[in-house]
Amino acid sequence: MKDKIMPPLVLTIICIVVSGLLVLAYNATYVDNTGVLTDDMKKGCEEIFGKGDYEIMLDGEGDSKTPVTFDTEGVNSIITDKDNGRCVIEITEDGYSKGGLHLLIGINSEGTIEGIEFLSIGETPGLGTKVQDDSFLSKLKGFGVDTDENSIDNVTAATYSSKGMKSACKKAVKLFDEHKEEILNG
Amino acid sequence: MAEKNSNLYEFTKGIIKQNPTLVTLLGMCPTLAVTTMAKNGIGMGLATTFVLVCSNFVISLLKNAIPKAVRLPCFIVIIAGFVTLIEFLMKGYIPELYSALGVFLSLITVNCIILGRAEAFASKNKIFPSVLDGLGMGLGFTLSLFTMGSIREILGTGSWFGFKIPFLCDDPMTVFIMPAGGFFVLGCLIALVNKIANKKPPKEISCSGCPNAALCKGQCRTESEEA
Repeated sequence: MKDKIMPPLVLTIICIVVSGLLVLAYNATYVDNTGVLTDDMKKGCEEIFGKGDYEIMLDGEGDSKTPVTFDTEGVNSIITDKDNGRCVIEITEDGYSKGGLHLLIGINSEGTIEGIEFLSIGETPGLGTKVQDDSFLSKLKGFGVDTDENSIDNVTAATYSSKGMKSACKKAVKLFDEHKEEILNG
Repeated sequence: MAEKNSNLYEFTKGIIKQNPTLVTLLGMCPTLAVTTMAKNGIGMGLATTFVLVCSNFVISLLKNAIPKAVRLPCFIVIIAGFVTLIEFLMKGYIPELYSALGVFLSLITVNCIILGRAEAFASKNKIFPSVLDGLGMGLGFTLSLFTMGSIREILGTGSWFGFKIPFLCDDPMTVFIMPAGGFFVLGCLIALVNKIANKKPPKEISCSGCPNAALCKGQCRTESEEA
């Protein structure tokens, strides 16, 4: 009887103890970056527009401030440069893998895309990652709210990633178009 | 005195004599994959050393409490716990190295060196020798990864830890940072270590160490003698 009970019991205890310790370690090392303009994001904004006074739009009071997203799915935060009438939208979009495209999309005062920077990419190396090539990104430059996304060719062997990129661009320009006043003056 | 000597032996054996990568050929996957740069080699080696020392310590501590039937799952859970811990730490404090090591960091869990030492040494020995064994093996692993990473980085990119090396950096031999170069450097290092350790191929092949020994009971030898 002891032979039957002991092995699963010991394994269960070890699993519980290890999981518990990992929860503690996770809480000790987790850094909450929500609503903070990290160095990576700042560098990305400067790559797109050059130097500027970048700020994340926040909502709420005191410690419970959350980034403004206008309830758009996939948008993480909106970074504004009010003096120059432009903004950068941080967005996570599904490519071939879920949430594989983490982008900064820079939108100028005319509401079209000025440039795109990658914060991280989780697409298949050599295939999906081709959307980082300048030849594709230059086609997305000038993307506006009236642009038909089907008029832009997908990258060969990276169809899902290309579709994800275009869908992210569409979301970003649409968001800017609908909330331009709040973003630039709010 | 004898115990002191044996402790020293447990520590030093992993560095050259039983070097996990170059002599026992364990953990080949991370060895070939992350050694494109010396820095990555050191990072991976030290991460593995940390996991090896900690898991050897805990497994040696619990060796009497873990029933034989579930010892492998228990070892894997303990090892995976430490790997996840070092992943959290690296993500938090050295994000640059974390992204360079990528998936191979999580794969330390299934690195045969760690499970091999847990099964072959820590589960049969006292705590202190087990920790020394883990430390020695880890340092041996780090040393071989560092050497391999240095050779590949110097020849393949013409730089070392970011310093450009004159002559070599003008026209580096890119093949060394490609997979084929990895195998080539590994082969040369194994040959060198065999030379240093003066290891000769066994004169007579015996049944000890053959995984099929229990089944064949030496029949293969009589067959080959007849032929």
